[in-house]
Amino acid sequence: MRRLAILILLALPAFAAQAGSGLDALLSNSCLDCHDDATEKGGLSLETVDFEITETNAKIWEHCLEQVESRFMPPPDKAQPTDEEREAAILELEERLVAYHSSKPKESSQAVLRRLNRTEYRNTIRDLFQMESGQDPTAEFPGDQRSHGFATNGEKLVTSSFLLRQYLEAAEEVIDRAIHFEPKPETQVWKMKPPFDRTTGQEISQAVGYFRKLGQPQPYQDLCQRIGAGGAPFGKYHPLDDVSDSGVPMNGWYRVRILAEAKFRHALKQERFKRWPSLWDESEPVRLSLSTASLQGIDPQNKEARDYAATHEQASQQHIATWDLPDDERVWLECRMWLEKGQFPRLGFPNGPTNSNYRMNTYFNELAKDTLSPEAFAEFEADQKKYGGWISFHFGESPRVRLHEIELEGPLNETWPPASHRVVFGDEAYDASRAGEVLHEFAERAWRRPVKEGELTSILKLTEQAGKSGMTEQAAIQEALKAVLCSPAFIYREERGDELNEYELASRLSYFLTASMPDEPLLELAAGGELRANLRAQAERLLSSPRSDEFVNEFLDGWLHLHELGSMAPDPHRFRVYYDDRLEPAMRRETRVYFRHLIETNGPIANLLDSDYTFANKELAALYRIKPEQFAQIGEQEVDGLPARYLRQDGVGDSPTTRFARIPLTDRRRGGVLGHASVLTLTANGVDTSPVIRGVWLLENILGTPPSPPPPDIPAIEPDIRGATTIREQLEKHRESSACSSCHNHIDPPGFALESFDPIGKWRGHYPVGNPYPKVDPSGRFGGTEFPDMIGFKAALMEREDAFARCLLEKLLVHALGRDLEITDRPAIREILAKTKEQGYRLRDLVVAVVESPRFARK
Amino acid sequence: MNRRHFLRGPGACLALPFLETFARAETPPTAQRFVCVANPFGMIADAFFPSETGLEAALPENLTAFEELRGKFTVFSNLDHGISGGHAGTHAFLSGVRTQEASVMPDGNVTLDQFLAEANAGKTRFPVLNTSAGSNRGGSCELSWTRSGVLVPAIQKVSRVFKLLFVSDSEAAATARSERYDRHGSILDAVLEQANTMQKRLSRRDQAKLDQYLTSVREVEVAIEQEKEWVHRPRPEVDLTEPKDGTVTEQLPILFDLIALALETNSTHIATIEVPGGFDAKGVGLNPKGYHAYSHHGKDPTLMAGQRAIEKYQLDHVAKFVAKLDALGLLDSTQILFGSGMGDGSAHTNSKLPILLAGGGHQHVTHAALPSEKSRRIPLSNLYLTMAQRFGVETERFGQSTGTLGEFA
Repeated sequence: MRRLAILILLALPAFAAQAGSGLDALLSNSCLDCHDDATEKGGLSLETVDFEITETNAKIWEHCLEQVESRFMPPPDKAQPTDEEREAAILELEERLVAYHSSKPKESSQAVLRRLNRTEYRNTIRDLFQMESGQDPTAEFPGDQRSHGFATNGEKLVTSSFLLRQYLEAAEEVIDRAIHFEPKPETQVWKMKPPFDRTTGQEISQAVGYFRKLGQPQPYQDLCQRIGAGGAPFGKYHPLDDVSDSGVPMNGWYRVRILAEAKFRHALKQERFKRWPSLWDESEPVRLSLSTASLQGIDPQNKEARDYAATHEQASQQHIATWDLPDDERVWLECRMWLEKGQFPRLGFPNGPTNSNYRMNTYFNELAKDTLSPEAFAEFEADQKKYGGWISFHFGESPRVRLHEIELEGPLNETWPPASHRVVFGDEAYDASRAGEVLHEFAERAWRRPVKEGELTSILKLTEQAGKSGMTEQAAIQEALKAVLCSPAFIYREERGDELNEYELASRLSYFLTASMPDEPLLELAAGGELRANLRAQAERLLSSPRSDEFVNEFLDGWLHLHELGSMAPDPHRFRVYYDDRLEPAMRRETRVYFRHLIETNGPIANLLDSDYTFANKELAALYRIKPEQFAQIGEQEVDGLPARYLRQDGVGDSPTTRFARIPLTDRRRGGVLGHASVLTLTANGVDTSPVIRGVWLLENILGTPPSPPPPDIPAIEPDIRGATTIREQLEKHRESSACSSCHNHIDPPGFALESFDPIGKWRGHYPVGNPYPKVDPSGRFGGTEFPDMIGFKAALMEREDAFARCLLEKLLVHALGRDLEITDRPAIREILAKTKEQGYRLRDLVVAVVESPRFARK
Repeated sequence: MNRRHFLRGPGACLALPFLETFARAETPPTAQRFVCVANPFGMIADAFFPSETGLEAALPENLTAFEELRGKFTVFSNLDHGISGGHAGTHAFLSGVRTQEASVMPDGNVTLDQFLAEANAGKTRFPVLNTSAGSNRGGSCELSWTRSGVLVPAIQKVSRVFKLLFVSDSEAAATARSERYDRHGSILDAVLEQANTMQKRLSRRDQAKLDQYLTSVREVEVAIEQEKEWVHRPRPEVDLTEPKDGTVTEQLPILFDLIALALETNSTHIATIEVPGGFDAKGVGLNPKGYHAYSHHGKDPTLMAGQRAIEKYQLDHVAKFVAKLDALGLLDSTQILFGSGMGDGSAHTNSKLPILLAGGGHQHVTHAALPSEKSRRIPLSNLYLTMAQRFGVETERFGQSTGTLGEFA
C-alpha cells in the first residue's frame, strides 16, 4: 500500500528524488509546504490522500492535475518547478487517472443521442430540398441551450412539447414551399414610373416643386437621405409603391432592373452643418442598396403605421444588393431576388447624408445666393414667392441617387416544377402507386441512412388513411413527407454501438464541418463502406468547399461566444458609430474571415493570438484608426489563398468600395482575435467594460483554464464614477482579501491589458468619465511575467502557445463530439498535440487531426 | 378506437407556453390569478426599500403611489436566490435556478408562471400569457422558462396581445385550424410508431433521451385535443379597439389595461409583463440615453436621478394596476409580484432583490424585513412556494425553497 507514501517521502526526501516518480517529486518539493495536514491551505491537504486513485480521491487528484497544468499552482510568489518537472508530474498523474477511469468506463464518455440544433435543422432542410432561399423554417424555434458556448451537446439539446409543435408547423411550411403539383404560375411584369415611392420626405418635396413649376411630373425620382438618418431603428428606406401595398402574389425568384445614376456627389458644403455634421463622405461613390420588406399584418387603414413600416428597418428584412453608381451616367442595374408572398423590394441610399428634410431646405435657401448663377437666383426668388419655400429642392444640389426606370418581373421559374419538388418526385407524374417508392427514397435521404425493414409502415399507412378521408393522392403523400420530417430519425442523429458505422460517421463528419446532412459523395462512400478509409480526403474536401463556412460560423459562435455579439447591444447614444457605420456585421465578418483565411492557408494558430494583419472594411478600419486614405491605398488587392468571395459584400450587386481588405497592422495592439472589435464588444456589456469579465473570458476560451465561480456572499464591487477611482483601483482593494486574490490574481491582469479597449473595441488611453479623465493602466503580471500593456501581455501569452493549442483543440473536440471531455480523452488530445506541434500548430491540420482521431469515429 | 380518445381525461399536465387549452364551462369564484411584472436592471435600494418595517412604515420615493394601497401590499427586503452572475444571473429571477444548474433540479428551472400554468391547464383559453412592453435592445429579462428548460419568448406588441385575446378567428380560419390539428394528430400517430421501434434498439442512456420526444408527443396530443375545444368558441367582446404598437412607455400602460381585461374575462389567469431594456428614457422626460446606461449610474447624481425616474415610472404603473384590480374586485384572488433578478444594477448584484407582492388575500404588512445574516437568510423561493400554495397548487417545494414564508414569517 502507498497510503503512507507521502509521509515517508517527507521524512526521507532523498527517496523522492530517486524514485523516478515525477509526481512524488513535485508533491514534496512544491505542494506539501502548504497542503499538509498542519497548514491545509484552501482546505486541502494532500498528506493523507492515497496515491492509488480511488473513487473517493479521484476528484481531488483531477483538481490537482488541473491546477498544476493551468499553472495556477504553485502560486506565482512561490518557487516554481522547472517545466520538465511540471510536465513529468502531469504526465504521471494523468496516466494514473486515465488508467483508473478506463477500468470503469462511464456512460458520459459517450455522446448521447443528439438532436439537430437550429442551424443544423435549417441547413438540413435546405440541402434535403435543394432550396436555396426562403423563410427560415426555424424562426419560431426556441433557442438551443449551449454548453461551453456550443449548441452541439447532446445532453443540453432537449426536446419539449413546445419544440415538437414547432416541428409540426415547420414541416407544414417546408412541404408547402417545396412541393408543387399545381401548374406553373404566370410570370408578371411591373413597369414602374416615377415617383416610385410617395412616402413623405425631401424627395417628395422636390417632385411637388417640379410639378408646380413645370406643370408635369418629374421624370425621375431622387433618393437624398441616408438609411439610418431617422436614428435607430433605422428609417428612410424607399418602398416601390406599385408592389408595396400587398407585395408580390407568390414566393419565387424575381428579376429587378433599375436605371439609375449618381448626381451631385461633390455638391454638399459640409461645413454649413456645423453642429451636426452630415455623415456624407464625398470620396465614396454614391451607393444604391436593394432589400426586402413586407406590410403583412399591418392594418390597411392605418396609413401612418404602414408608411412607418415601409420606410423603416424590419426584423425580417433581407439585404439583397449594393451598387456603386457612376457619376452622371445612367446605368442599368439588374439582379435576381427571392421574394416571399407579400414582400416587396425597396431601395435605399446607404451612405447618403444624414441631413433631415428640414435642414436641407434651410441649407438650400441659405446657400441659393452663393451657389446659383445670378439668373438662376433671380428665378429662384421669383419661384419662391410663387410656389413657397420648398421649391428650393428644385434648385438645390446635394448628393443623391437618381432613379429613372424600374422593372420587376416574376416569379421566374425557369424550370417547373421547381428543383425542391423534383428532388422528391423525380420528373415523372405522381400517383398513389408510387407512394412506397417515393417515400422510401425520401426517407433515406432525410434520415441520412438506409431505411430499415418495416420502418415506414406506419407512415405509409398515413397516406392511405389520408386518401380515405378524402384527400387527393397528391395531398396524401405530402402528409407522409411531413411525418418523415417530424420523426425521431430525422430530428435525432442516431448512433449505435461503440464504433460508428459508415453512415453515422458520414453524419458526424458532415455535421461537424458543414452543420448539415451528408452530401452525395459522403453517402456514396458510406454505402460502399469506404468512408473510414477516406476520412482525411473527405475532411479536406469539405474544408475547401464553401459549405464549411457553416463550420467556421458555428465554431466561432461557440469558441469565442460570437453568437453573443449584439445581445447586449452598445448604448445607441454613446456609441452612435456602432449603428451609423453598421459595425456589428463588419465585426462579425472580420473574425470569420480571419479564421477562414487561416483554414484556407493552413496558417499557424499563433496568428489567432498575435499577427500583423487583420481584415476590415473602411468603417471598421476607421474604428481601428486607419484613415480612409490609407484604406483606399490598400484597395482591391487579392489575398493569397483566400477566395475573393470572402472579401466582397454579402449579396449580389457591384460595390467594390464596400469590400473587406487585408489590413497590415503596423503596431501590434490589434493583431489576433483579442484585438478584434467583435471579441471586445461581446466581452463588454454595451455600456462599460469589466476586467473581470474579459479576464474570465480569456482564461476560459484562450487558456482553457476557467476559474472557479466566486464564493457566495462576496460583496460586489460598487462602481463609483464620481471620484477618480478606476475599476482597477477598486479591484486592487478586492484582491486584498485572500479569498478573492487566489483567483483574481489570474483573472484580473489579462482584463487590465484589455482595458485599453472600450466597450466597442476602440482604443482608449483614458476613461471618459470623471474630471479629470482617469488614465487607463493596462499593466500587470501574467504568470511570472510583468507586462506594461497589451503588446507586452500578448508577448507573454505567446509563451503559452502549448496551452492555447490545447484549449483550441479541446473546443474543437467538444464541438465535434457533442459531449464534455473526460479524463480518458487526454491521451488522444496529447497525441494530436504532439502530431500537430511538429508543423507549428496549423489550424487546418488541427481540424483534420480531430477528424482523424480514433475518438471521432467512436460514439 | 382512436387512441387519442384515452388522452382526454382530466389531470393531464401541460407545459406549453401561451397555448390555448380546454376550459371548464365556467370559472369558479375562487379562481386564483397571478401576474408578474419584472425588469432586468433592479432598483436603487434607498428609493425602493422602506427604512421602517411594519404596516405603517413610511414609504420611500418610488412607492409613493402605493400610499392608498396600504394593507394590500408588502415589500420584502433581503430576499434573493443566493446566486451570482450579474446580467447572466437575472434569468433565474422567477425560478430560483440558473440554466446551468437546471439539470440537477427536480423541476428544472421552471418559472413560477409556467409552474402555476401547468396546474391551471384547461381552465382558461391561455394557460399563461407572457408579454413585454417592447424590444430587448439593450437587455432582456429572460423571464419565463418551461420545465424542460426552454425560454418562453414574450410578445412584444400590444396589437398582438389584443388580437390573441379579443379578436375571434373567422369561421374559415377556425375550420382550417381545426383540420390542421387533425392532420397533426395523424402525423403524431405515425411517428410514434417509428419512435417506438427506434426506442428498442437504443442504449439505456439514449432511450432516456428519446423519452423526451415520446413524452412531448403525448403532451402535444393532449394539447391539440384541448385546443380543438376552443377553436370555434368566440373570444370575449370588449369595449376596446386594437391599440397601436409603440415605444415601451407608450405600450406599458396599454399592456396593463389589456392584462387586467384578460384576467377579468377569464381569458387567462396567469400573465407576465416585462419592462425591457429597450425602455425609452425620453418617454419619462429624460435625455435619450439607454435604460441600461442609466442603470450603470456609478453613483453619478445625474444618472442616478434618471434611473430613479425610470424606476418610479414603473412602480407608479404597478400601483395603478393594483388599484384597478382592487376596483374590479379581483385583487384578493390575484397575486401581483413586482421585482427583478438584479439587485443593484450599477454593481451588478443578484442579491437583496427588489420584491413587492400585492393582493392575493395575504396579510400584508407594507414592509417585511427578513434576516440579512448569512446563516439565517431565507431564499426567495420560499416566497414563491407560499404563493404557489396560495394559488392552490399542492406542492411542498419550488425552486430552491427550504420551506414557506407563511404570512411572511
